[in-house]
Amino acid sequence: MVFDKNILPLILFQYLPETTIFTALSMLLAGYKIRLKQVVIIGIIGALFAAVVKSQQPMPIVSTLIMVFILIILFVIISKLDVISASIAVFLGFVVLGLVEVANYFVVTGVTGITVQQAMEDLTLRLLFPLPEYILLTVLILVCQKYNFTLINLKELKELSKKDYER
Amino acid sequence: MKDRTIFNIIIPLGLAFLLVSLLVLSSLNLHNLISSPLSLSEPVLFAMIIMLFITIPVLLILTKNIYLLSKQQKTLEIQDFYIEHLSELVRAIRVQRHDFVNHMQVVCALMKTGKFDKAMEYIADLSHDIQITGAMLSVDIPELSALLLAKTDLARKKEILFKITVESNLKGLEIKPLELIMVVANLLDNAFEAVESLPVDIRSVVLKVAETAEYYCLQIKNPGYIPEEIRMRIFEMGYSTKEGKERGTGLAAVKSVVEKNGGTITLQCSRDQGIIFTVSFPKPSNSER
Repeated sequence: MVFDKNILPLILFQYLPETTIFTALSMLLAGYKIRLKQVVIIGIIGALFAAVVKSQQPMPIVSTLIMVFILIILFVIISKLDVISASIAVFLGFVVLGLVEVANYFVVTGVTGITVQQAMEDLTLRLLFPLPEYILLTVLILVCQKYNFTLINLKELKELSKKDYER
Repeated sequence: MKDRTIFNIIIPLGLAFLLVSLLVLSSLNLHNLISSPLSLSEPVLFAMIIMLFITIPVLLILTKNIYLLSKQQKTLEIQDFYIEHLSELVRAIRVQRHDFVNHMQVVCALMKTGKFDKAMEYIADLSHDIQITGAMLSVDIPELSALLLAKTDLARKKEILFKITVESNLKGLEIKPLELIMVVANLLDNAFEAVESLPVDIRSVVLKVAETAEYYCLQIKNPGYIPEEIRMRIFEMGYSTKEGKERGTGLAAVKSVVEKNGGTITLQCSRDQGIIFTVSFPKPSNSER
């Protein structure tokens, strides 16, 4: 296993915020309350896994799929969600994050003229490249939380599906 | 959530997931193909990315709408359940009103023919039935009244003497009516099932609704005896003395709902007293109200 020489700043300033934002976004969109402690724990463990996965240098989408799988497991273990709810939450987070990430890629490369290749070669650029995405997603999370916006409220759907009233 | 809802939600969401993966791959390919940061030199790939940017949010909206529809459907199912019970309540009251005219005619006829003792006896019986219905209706939870009326009807069909004593209207009991119904219906059904094999003269179930200074209590009593080894395991999920695939969930579910609402359920059993299930819910303190 060969780690990037800048692994520590990458974990601290890229993988950790990305996983934490992803976790918070997934929880929120699936109708679960954000519990800071859980989100941070999943963020830290997820960031460490991301470092390990990316050190293997798999194809870009393969590393993402592995991370999706790991995050589902972390959601099940740490947030005590069932596998289906965890999968839906992670899928929702992934879809929104993916959209914003690609949009960020086009906007940043278009506005600054910096290519991804250039950004990958310079640590500062690499850390700054996804910054607009993180800011946008954090604002999105705060707005969603303030106005109680969810895409699917799994908790509510579960309550309604219980049929406790029937024998 | 083991119904079609989850699959209906997963299909568009899974598709969105795949398309996002495709979008990420396309963006990376676009980047590899072109030297400049953003260019229209690869029109097909670029058009595909634009299409994906439109399709994915549409799929997300679709997912949300499917969720909303499922939610509405489930809410309707619950409302249907309420309506069914309330219709039962109305039906029972109508029947009683209709019967009342007949009863009056009988009493009138008995009195006209000078059979005053018989008339008195008839009125006493009638008064007992009316008191039971009145007691049921005095409960401040209409869904529970409806359930009790329905169960009274069921008890009559099974020739079970079903006695209801209401000493509290349960006003202030903080539990969802559906959950309360689930608890009472399960306990009553179990009691009816336990006594229906007994001789008719001892076939009885007593429900007592009461309150103390700190608790609301529901007590269901029926003749019979449960050996200690069964009593120890009676609230365990999946444990049942009866055969059947879906047995052993009722009392476990009852216990779970009772405990979820901060209450307790106890079972007392003796050969003299019979089987007594007591459910207690704590009264909310003044500061909680």
